[in-house]
Amino acid sequence: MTPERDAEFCEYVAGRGERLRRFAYLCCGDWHRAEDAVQTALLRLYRAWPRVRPATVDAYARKVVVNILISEQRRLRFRRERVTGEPPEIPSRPDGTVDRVTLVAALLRLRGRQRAAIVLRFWDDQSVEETARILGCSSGSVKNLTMRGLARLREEFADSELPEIEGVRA
Amino acid sequence: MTAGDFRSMVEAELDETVPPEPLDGPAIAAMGRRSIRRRRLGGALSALAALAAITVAAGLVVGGPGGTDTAGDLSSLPPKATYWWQYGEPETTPQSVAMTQALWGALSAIDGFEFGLSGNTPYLEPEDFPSLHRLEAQLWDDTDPRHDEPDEDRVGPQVPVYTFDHDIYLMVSTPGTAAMSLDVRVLPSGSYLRQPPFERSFKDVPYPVDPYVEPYCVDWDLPDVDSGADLRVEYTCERTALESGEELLRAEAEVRPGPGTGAGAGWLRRTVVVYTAAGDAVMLSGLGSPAGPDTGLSGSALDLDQLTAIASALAAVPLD
Repeated sequence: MTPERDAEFCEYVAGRGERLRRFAYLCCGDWHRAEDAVQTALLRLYRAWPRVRPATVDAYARKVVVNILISEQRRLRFRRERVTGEPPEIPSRPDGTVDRVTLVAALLRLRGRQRAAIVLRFWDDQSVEETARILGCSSGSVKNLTMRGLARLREEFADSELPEIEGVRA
Repeated sequence: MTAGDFRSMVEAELDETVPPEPLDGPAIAAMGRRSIRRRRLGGALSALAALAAITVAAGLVVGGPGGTDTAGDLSSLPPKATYWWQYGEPETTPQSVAMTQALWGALSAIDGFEFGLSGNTPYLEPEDFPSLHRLEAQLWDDTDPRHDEPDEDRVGPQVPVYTFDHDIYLMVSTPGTAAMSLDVRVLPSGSYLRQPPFERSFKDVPYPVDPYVEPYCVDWDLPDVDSGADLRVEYTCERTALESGEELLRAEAEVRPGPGTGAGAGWLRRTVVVYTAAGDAVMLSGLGSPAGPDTGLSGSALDLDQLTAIASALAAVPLD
């Protein structure tokens, strides 16, 4: 790439990389995996940089992160490592008291695609159509994933803690 | 609760746990540059991986067919070194526009022609990529692959080539046939070798500079290093001198893995090269699946006649 495009890329990483890292974490629940996935995604983005349109670069990066995490999960399954659909138990505090159930911890209890749909729709403010594009599924599937994910979240929280998100009905 | 409230809650919780390790854009860009270099070198290797290494040994077995080198600069390079081409930014020029029109005109004339792209490119729009570009290609010596910025290793030459944008292969399909990945390159005189100058066992060959535009066209067997089984490579080649002063090579290589290789039904590569009277080369190389009961396919998209028509249309566009 030219130095100008290199500078553009670095500017993008500086401006958007942190959000991409948080997105990856919300998808996988592990900061180390998130770091690795984002770094790999940014490398792919660098290679594609001259061709990716500014209007779609964020969505492209998220798509790559999702694909990387899915591929990684498949590899883990293939290697017969212990992989469950559920995240680890919320750790207890050293003093023996139990942590409150946080929204992020509840999110991480969702199944992967439900979690990704919720994160994309309500944390990343993506439309149903764009979420479908990133997840590689239909808009109907996104709505389904979102509804089920929200219903599951409500089971984790008392209704008073997680009322309905406006405009979204369970 | 609004989506904004949801976002705020999540962000507040993330703020408490996020490791304070900002991403290093320049470091990632540096890795990206190295990655591109490796991919280009790797592309040269993998594009030729089976067949190129195979042709080396084929050349050994039969002593080679004695192809003609058109590029004095390249053929005089020490074959033990490893080289790679650094491609500049893709440019649109009157020639590249004319070539793109010629390419799509010829492809569109094929019944049921459809196309896609290989690779992870979901956010590229069709109008972004299926065009040929002019890329300035500079040859580098890559004797130390760990070397990050090989500014001191420049060996030349510098030539324009016309091809798709970086790392893109066009996936072409027609009704009832398997998709074929199509690579298109237009190479000016002096920027290519017709065949690699291999002289040793393929195990010792460090992949000297490409591009080589022709296969060796000699059937042979290669022991598969990993499985111990054999790969059988069968060629059909035809060279024709045209009245226009052009020369045409049409080649088909079918690679059939032996039992136990785990390589499925094998693969098929069709190559058409038109050498213009000026010494430029138009090379089309399609990789697909062989026809037959193993694959359940009637063949791969684009036969040799169709590839020849496309190559001839491109060869009619003069280089700058």
